[in-house]
Amino acid sequence: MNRQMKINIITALLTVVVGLVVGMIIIAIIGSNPWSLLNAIYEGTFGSVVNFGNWISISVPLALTGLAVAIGYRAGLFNIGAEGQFQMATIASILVAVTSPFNGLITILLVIIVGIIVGALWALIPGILKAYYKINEVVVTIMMNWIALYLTNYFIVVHFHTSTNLTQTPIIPSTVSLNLKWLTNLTNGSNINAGIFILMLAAIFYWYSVEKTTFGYEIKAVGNSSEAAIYAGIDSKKRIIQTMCLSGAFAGLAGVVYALSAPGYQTTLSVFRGFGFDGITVALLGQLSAIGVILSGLLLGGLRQAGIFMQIQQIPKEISDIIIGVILIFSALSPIIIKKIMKKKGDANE
Amino acid sequence: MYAVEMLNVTKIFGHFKANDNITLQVEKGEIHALLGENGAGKSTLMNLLFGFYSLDGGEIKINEQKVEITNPNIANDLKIGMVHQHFKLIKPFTVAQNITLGSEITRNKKIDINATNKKVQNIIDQYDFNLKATTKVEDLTVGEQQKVEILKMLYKEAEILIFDEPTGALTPQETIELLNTIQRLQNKGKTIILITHKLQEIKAIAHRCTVIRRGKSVATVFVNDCTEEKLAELMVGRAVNFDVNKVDKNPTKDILQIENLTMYNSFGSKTLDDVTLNVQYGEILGIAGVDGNGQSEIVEAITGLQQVSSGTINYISNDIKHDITKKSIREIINLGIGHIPQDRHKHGVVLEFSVAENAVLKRYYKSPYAISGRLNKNKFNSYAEKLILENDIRTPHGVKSLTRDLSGGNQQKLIIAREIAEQPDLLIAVQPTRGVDVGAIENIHQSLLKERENDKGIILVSLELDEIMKLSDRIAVMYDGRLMGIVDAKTATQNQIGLMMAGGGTNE
Ligand SMILES: Nc1ncnc2c1ncn2[C@@H]1O[C@H](COP(=O)(O)OP(=O)(O)OP(=O)(O)O)[C@@H](O)[C@H]1O
Ligand SMILES: [Mg+2]
Repeated sequence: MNRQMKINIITALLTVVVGLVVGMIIIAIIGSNPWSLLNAIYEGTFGSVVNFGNWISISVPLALTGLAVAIGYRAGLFNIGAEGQFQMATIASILVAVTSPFNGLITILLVIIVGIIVGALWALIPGILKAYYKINEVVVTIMMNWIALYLTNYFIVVHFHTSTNLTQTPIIPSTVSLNLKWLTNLTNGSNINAGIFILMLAAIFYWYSVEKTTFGYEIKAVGNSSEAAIYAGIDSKKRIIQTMCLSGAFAGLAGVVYALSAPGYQTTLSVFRGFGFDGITVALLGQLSAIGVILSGLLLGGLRQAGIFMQIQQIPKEISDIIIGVILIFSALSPIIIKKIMKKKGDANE
Repeated sequence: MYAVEMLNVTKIFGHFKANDNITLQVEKGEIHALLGENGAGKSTLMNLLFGFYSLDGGEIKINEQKVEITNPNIANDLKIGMVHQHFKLIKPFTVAQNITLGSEITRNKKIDINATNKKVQNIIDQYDFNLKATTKVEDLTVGEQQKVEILKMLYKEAEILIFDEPTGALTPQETIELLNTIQRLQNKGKTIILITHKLQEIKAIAHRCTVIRRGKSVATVFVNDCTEEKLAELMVGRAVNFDVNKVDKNPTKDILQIENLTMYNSFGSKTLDDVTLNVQYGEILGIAGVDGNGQSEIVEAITGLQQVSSGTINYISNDIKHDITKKSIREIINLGIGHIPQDRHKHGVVLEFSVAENAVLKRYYKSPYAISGRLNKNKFNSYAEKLILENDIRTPHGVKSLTRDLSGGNQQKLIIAREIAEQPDLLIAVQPTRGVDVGAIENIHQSLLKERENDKGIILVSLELDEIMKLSDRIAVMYDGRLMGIVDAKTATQNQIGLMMAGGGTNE
């Protein structure tokens, strides 16, 4: 392992520790036992077989949105819109799952394809605006998130709800769910499902395209120095649009997995579910590497699980969000901190 | 008395000794030059003095006191100032705002603009800088921006001034002015350390010169006792040949024909006005002119980096004419046009890529470097290995080094090596020797002449008239976006070209 990697890992771990410490301080301030945080994290992850399964299951879409943000980052694009892409793909997935005339397996494949396409299309718009009109993708994707939120709410209330509840979509047929009997049995009936295999395939795909292909070389050139990329003859506009769509596709896949997992329906929302936003933290904490993203997806999943168990102990589950926020801030800062350390030492590589 | 003493200083990057037991002693009030090949360790040494890096061995004394300079603020307190090659100015701010940034003059917690302007104008006048405190930096020329950088040091009352390749981006006129300024500063008692690859500059103003070779200090000499040849030899370790030998050529066939080329910038004003010129197989066409008179527009039009407004550019290969104004950049590259860009950091390399990745910047997608979209990094490495060996490119950790960690001159050498290795039929070289040492200049000049010998076409854009006159067969002179004329390099005089560059004289 080279030095750079070691430093990266140490900063990531430190970032997490800082986040946890801040969380514990806040819990102490509100008058509870700070150690209950660590206890809640333990409970939510390794506390029981069911909790373990649920933990993995919640982590999968987080890691997928992490991959979405990470691939954008490689090309210098900050896709804050993973949230909206996720949201659109979720509702599209449920729609297809509920209305499909085909059998289970074919429907699942259809849902995956539709989800990916819907996510990619939702990212296409900011991609085009960025590539051809130099309009900042951050601004556009934020707006697209709100459009996605209210569009899905509108769609549910007006066209796509159950006969008894205006704010809830029909539930997907159990044949279309990603649940695998042996996995469910193995984990005493937890929510864990085939999503983990989708994630693994997606992570391998991410790693391969970024590290091993000309496409990866080109988007990294565009991301680091678009002028040099253009000089080298790389079609940077095309690459920006493609990367944006790919990013949306990963977020869409997260939406698919979410839609086809328990509970299997969607309600109208007043706030975002936060999968896309947490994807930013996952990508940055994972330092854009496939493995890093999976690990930090698990970490954030663990924090979400901890939220549930803190609530049981009368501690607000929003503490989890605060910790994630702190981790995000420090992950965003860490390149600067790393650079500072390296510059002083001058050990830029090995 | 010594103002600066760096005694047995060592700096190690990973396993690489960039500074190996270097001793540098600068007397108070002298102009002390630092000379050394690209990658010898000059910038590293100055970064140690300015607190950007920490020492791995040795000690530093300022005014005979031992000091620990662990960050640039300490350097400031010790009255050390540094002008970097890449300016650190805020363009929309005025001269006065830039200079006082960080130590503003305030009244009632508000910035006192009048007092600021007055104080800054005082300093400007005191050093005869011929600037106005209220001008915005974006309206200044490069030379004037550099004066602002110098004023920043003077405002902080720096006594020891470090200049790292200050003339790299300047025009010849601005260079003369800068050297005068440095001498004036010395007359006012400042101590000056000057890094430059231009031996004339050292001869013109420096008193003593310390020579560094591969991280070690090899000599400190009195400049007056040394000829330029002697200095070059000390630095490279062998005699450097300043003359070039050009074989006779009788070019007859055009490789490039530019007709009535006109370009506009994004504000709609004309940057290139009806330019018509040709380049032949087996010739070097020099393009002379003061910076910003249309040279870069010609280059960007040919290479496809900028849209052509009107006119045609025909590229002729194998007797087939290609109109390249509508072609993509990659198509133009693949037709055989190579480009050594003016701004190496912006265009020439991706700084965050490794040397190997940058070496293949123009061929990474071709076999064997990639096969159906799959990269073969081993091939990247072996190709880069060959380039750095053949061109004496010095890297700290071989082809895996981050390009950012190469010294400026070695980055430039990497770009030139890459472009020539692509074997273009038409090579456009813009300021190819900027920032490279005299030994490397010799090699670069020889490579360009070899291309010419092999019947390639070469366009050489340079701000240095000497270089243009030495290498070119014909010289096109630009002024205000117009071609003032094309002269024969054999018969033209510096005076004649100088006149044309200023908008006078014509083509006879
Ligand atoms: N941060 C770094 N990490 C690793 N190696 C470095 C780093 N900075 C510089 N080096 C290496 O140290 C050596 C000296 O570099 P330095 O920039 O001091 O050269 P220089 O004498 O200023 O050359 P030039 O004339 O080209 O500017 C070079 O080989 C360079 O690659
Ligand atoms: Mg240097």
